[in-house]
Amino acid sequence: MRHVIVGVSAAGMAAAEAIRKRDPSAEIVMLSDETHPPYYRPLIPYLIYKEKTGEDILRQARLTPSNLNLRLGVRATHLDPKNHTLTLGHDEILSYDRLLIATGASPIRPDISGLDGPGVFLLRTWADAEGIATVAKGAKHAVILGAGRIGMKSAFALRHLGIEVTIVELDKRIVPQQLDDESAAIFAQAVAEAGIKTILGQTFKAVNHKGKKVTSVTLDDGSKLKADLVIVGVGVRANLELAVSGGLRVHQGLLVDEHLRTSDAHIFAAGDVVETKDIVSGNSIVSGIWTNAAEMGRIAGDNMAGGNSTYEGAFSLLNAMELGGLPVVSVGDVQALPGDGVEVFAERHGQAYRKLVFRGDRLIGLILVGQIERAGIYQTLIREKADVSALRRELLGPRFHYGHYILSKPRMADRYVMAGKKN
Amino acid sequence: MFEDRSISPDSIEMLGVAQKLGAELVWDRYAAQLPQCGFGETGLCCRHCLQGPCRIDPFGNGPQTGVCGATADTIVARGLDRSIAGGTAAHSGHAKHLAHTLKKVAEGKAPDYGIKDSNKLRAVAQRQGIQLVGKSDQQVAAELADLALEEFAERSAPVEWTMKTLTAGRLKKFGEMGLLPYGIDSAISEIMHRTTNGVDADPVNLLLGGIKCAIADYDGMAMATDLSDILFGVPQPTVAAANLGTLKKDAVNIAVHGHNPVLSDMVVAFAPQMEAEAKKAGAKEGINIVGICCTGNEVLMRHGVPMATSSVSQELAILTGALDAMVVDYQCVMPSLTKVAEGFHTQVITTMGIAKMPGATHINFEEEHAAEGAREIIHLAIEAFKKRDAAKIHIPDIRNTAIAGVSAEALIGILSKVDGADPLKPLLDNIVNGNITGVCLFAGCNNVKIPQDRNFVTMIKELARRDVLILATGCASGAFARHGLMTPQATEKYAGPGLKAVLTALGNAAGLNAPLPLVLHTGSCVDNTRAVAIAVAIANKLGVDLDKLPVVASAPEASMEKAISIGTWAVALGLPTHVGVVPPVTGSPLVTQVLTQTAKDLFGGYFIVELDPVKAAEKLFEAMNERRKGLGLAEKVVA
Amino acid sequence: MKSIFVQPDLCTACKTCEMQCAIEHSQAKNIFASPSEKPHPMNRVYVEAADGRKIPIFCRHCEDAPCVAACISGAMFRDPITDAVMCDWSRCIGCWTCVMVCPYGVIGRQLELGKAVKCDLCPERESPACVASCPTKALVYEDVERFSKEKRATFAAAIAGG
Repeated sequence: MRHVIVGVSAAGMAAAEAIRKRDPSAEIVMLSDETHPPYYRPLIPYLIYKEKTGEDILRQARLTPSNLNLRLGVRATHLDPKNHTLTLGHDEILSYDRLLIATGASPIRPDISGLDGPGVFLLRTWADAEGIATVAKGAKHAVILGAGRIGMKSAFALRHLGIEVTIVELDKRIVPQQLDDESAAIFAQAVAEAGIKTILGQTFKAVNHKGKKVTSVTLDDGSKLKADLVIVGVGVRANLELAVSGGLRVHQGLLVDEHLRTSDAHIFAAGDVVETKDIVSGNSIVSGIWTNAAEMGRIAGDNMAGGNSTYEGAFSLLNAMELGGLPVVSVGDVQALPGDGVEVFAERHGQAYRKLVFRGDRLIGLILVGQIERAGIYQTLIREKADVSALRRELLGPRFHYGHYILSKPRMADRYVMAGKKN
Repeated sequence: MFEDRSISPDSIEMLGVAQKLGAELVWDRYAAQLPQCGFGETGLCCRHCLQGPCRIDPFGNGPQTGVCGATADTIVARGLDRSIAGGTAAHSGHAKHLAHTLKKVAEGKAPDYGIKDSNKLRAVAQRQGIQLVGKSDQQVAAELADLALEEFAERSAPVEWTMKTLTAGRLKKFGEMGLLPYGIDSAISEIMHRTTNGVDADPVNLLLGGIKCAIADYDGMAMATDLSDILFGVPQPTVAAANLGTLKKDAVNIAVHGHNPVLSDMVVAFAPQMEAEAKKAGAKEGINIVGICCTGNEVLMRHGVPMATSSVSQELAILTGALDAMVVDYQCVMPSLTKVAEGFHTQVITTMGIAKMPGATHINFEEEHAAEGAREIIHLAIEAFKKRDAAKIHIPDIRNTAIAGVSAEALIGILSKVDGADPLKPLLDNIVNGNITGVCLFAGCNNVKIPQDRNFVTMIKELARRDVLILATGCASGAFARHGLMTPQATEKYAGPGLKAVLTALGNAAGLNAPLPLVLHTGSCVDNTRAVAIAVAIANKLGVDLDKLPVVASAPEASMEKAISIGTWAVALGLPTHVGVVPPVTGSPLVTQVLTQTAKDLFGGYFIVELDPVKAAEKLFEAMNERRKGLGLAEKVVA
Repeated sequence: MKSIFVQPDLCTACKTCEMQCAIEHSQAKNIFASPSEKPHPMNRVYVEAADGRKIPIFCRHCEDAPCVAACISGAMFRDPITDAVMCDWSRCIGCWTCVMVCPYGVIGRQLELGKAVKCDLCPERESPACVASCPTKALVYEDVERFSKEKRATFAAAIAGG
């Protein structure tokens, strides 16, 4: 049985590990269109200010399945589901018994004049980060479009180099998806204290160049910002070309069933390329989250090797990060407004913030700023769609712990509290 | 909301305020302590020497003896004894202070104090064997003070207050069992000696030693009550108020907190002199003194000073933003007060050399310069008033009437309006005829482990409807006052028919045109001895000992070592004594049995540990019926 | 592979396990010196309270450990010999994604260093510090099979006995 996996990041590697677990002797061919060995994409901002070297962000052997046929710098250009083959590059044909499309997503290039010029970067790959690092060396002013995760990470990275940074964000708050107004206000302070300037409610009208250098950015309202380095982080789009070439069903992402099988029985998909359903709302989403990708990869790989696992759906929001030394965890539906069965509990004390969103008996959303301990239990409750009516009071308090959870499930509690006394 | 923390409406309202402010209170600190260590909870941890700390495994899997060979029984008994010593030291420290003050008064060194009640002085002195003929109050006071001070020393005879106030039966029993202490401090010190490494390892012997110390506790408390009455007046029924709503937005609010009227009475006495200054500072209503805990009880019953709050909710007074000063002496004062006060203008003022707190302002209060001390304290409060932040003021609009001050003298006074020649007869007759099932003395504290006041309020309703006469002291009275239960209205609402009839008759006889309140407020914690005086009088009249009376005691939300020492002497005096929390003794089934069963055989009194307040009331009711039966009286039957 | 089994009925919440865990993960490795070390040693096992019960909560070293799958820097991994789930501080960037996904809430944050802190089954010891120090033997370090067998035997005896 030959398994071919296109993509060597979170989803691809998790799939390979799952396949290896079921079938230690299966042939696994993995293809990456990047020349770098498998690496941890979320770490690339550290390359910008040389906090980490390339070595530091590589996937180590201990987390790589054994006996992989790893082919770097290879692009799968065409898919032939009928003949179970892939075309690699111009003419090499590779056949497969099972195929996993884990081609990920690419950053969106907004249609803005001058965006294609020099000194303007997206941030998705190792190469992007190295490119930014090079230009950053001589840069004094950086302007970033998008105050999402990419924009924020880039901003803080550039501040380490002493560069003046301005972030331009269309929404009315920073990190608009992961934060609500209250938590964004908390972070706005941290961001300002880090020397990062933020302009909200604006976008780029044009990026201006002089010769081979970027010189400034013009905003919607006509104002101009000095810039010798521009980074754009406004979201990603699924890499569907390969799937489309094979006639697989796609929408915003590659469509799959609950076993992560595409419209072809031998082809599976996992990771940022997939369109799946939001575990909280049931809506279709394309999720650009590492954790989701790894989970999908594991299930897809398991099924490729003969398993029958089901994927329950992805969190559209599942984010943990630290900005300016302040940690925040955002899970599920954090923007829901009260009413129509939804209750929102929010409490702020200084820089600490807790927001829990309930729909009926279920927890559906969570933002924790500052004290993020035990966030994982909350996440589990959201994922399991658990009935938390008996836990409501403990959940709202700062001392919720796993013991509360066990005791709320009587049968589980009985098993946990085992007959062990000798007296 | 907050029903797990308190059932008192003013506390609940302030808990809401606390939550908005993010203020950390006793309940939060308790939650952070959970789970509490099981070795501590069972009394199975010993730190009495450097070869430890040792612990005994209650499940039998780990060690069953400490390093020195002490068993669970020994360790638990030693630990309990030390708590009794702690409680005794506290009460007797209070008594000692009063004795020193009386001596200073007699020597003319404390001009701001005086003999408030000459009759009480002479009555006590005479009772204690001092010759009165031809002596001035000054001379009598000097002798009484010396007698009191000697009580604490190494002596060659049993302590005097005990010998002169208990029944002959009790004294004989204690004498035969070798339980009469010869000196209060001697008894405390003996406990420290016998419980250190390598002294007393016999659990029963240890417990009997603990009882001896508890009797010393009783002794000091009886002394404290007498001396307080002499210096500050015998309490008579007073109508006052309770709850945080007694704080006034337009006054300089000063809370007196702690225990000794030596301090609080002076603050009350000298406040009128400072009214002008307060008004000048902008306080339209001048100075408003309120009480917290026992010292609050002292000035409540003598001066009608309102009881703002007590015990577990003491921090909430500061959160009202309207408390300008909290003046404390000793015992039950949370060191967290200074932290809570950080967000407010409130001055936390300590006054005693042995009781300081980081963050507080210390004014060394000396009896010789009491007026100066009191004025300085009040002055600080007035200065603090000027720093109030009006935006932070939130005084719950909750206030209950509270009738306080039913000293033994006052009760006899009321009874003599019914029968002048034989005042106890009406009381006894009604016990005999079953209108009154028996008497229950509620004492003790609040405990953060129990929603504040829940056990008190539940039990009083259960007992009152069973026609039990209720006395209360300390923070038990604080609890009842907060819920409007120290009122005639509460009698109307909750008393069973027999009790209602008696309280109504007494109320009418006293000229109230209303029943006596449901709870007879007997005073502060040391004033538990007032209830003993009444019980002794009844016992002597009936010709039986205390262990035959249908009289019980309950500390349903006990928390302090003082409650343990009082509970112990209550048991020794022959009272079935209920505790609403589990004391750290369950690690020794033997000790537990001695306290709850063997004690009954030895003393007639015994501990009832019952966490459920409804069940506790039932058990106390059964205990009273058992006593009734023993006296040949009809047992009470209630639906 | 040996796992730590918890018998909550025998737990007195003395928190000796918490304390010894912190001490084991310190420089000085003794109660007198360790508490004042910087960065301050942290316990990775937790004894909590709920409903009046004492509940020790330990890392399960899950087979499909969510923390390992979720780790974005390759810091979380499974030790091939002990099967313990470990956090490699040379790779940890303190993003707290593991904290966000651990269903038991047993991953802590070392704030001074910005690293995730979790149970490592005390690789330098015969048996983990918590197990060795529990005064009531509430903690057992045993093979899964052996432990289950003992439990079944105890349970069967209880049923047979009446």
